[in-house]
Amino acid sequence: MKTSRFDNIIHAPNRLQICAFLVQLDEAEFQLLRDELAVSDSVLSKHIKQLEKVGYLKLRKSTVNGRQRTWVHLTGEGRQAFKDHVKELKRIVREY
Amino acid sequence: MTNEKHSVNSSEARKALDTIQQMERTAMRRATPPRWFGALIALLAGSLVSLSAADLRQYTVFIILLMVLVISYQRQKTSVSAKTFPVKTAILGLIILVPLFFLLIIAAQLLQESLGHVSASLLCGGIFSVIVYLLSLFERRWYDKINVEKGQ
Repeated sequence: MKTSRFDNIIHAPNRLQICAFLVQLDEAEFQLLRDELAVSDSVLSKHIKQLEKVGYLKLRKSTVNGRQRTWVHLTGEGRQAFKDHVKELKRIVREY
Repeated sequence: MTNEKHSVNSSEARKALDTIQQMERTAMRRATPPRWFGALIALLAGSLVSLSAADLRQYTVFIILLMVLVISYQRQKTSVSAKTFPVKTAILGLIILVPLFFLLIIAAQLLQESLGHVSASLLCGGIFSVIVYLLSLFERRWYDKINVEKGQ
């Protein structure tokens, strides 16, 4: 049975953008995400931490040419929660 | 905590869906590989066939290294790692490409007597390049299709 579930963690504007961006990808670099959302490092870090805390997102660090890069990806749980949230939004639009 | 009662009205939900659509499209645009990437990988794959058919297998390691470098450069440049094809499509692609790779090497060796050593190797390498390039175009179309679906 298809479920739909409103998720307050995901629904915050910046976190919604983060999830929508990542759901189409395997992973994305932190800096790119920051630029796409047009927010500061600290703001993005704060939102990422919140998503990481509930197990929706994970970070991976890699070093390229001596420079550390951080990659972000949605977990299976995060993808499912996002899908359910989108379903719920569509249901709200349909019914009201 | 994640399933609390919500008070979102229809217009707010519509706005959120629009934002989602826009971000998904941006991500797909980022993930779509450029044409030069498909062409270069196709050329390198064709070189693998040509070198193997021409009994110059010792050089194939350089081509493989070059392929790894190109893929890694593209990944670093776009700062995203694209979601791969659906597993079935990827497996189907491999089922077609791997035997074809060896078949073309054998074909090149059989054609060497009639076409000559170099021409036969280049011809079969060229055929493999064209096939890989067509597959890369198919991949682009797949990304474009998703983009269009997201735009609806």
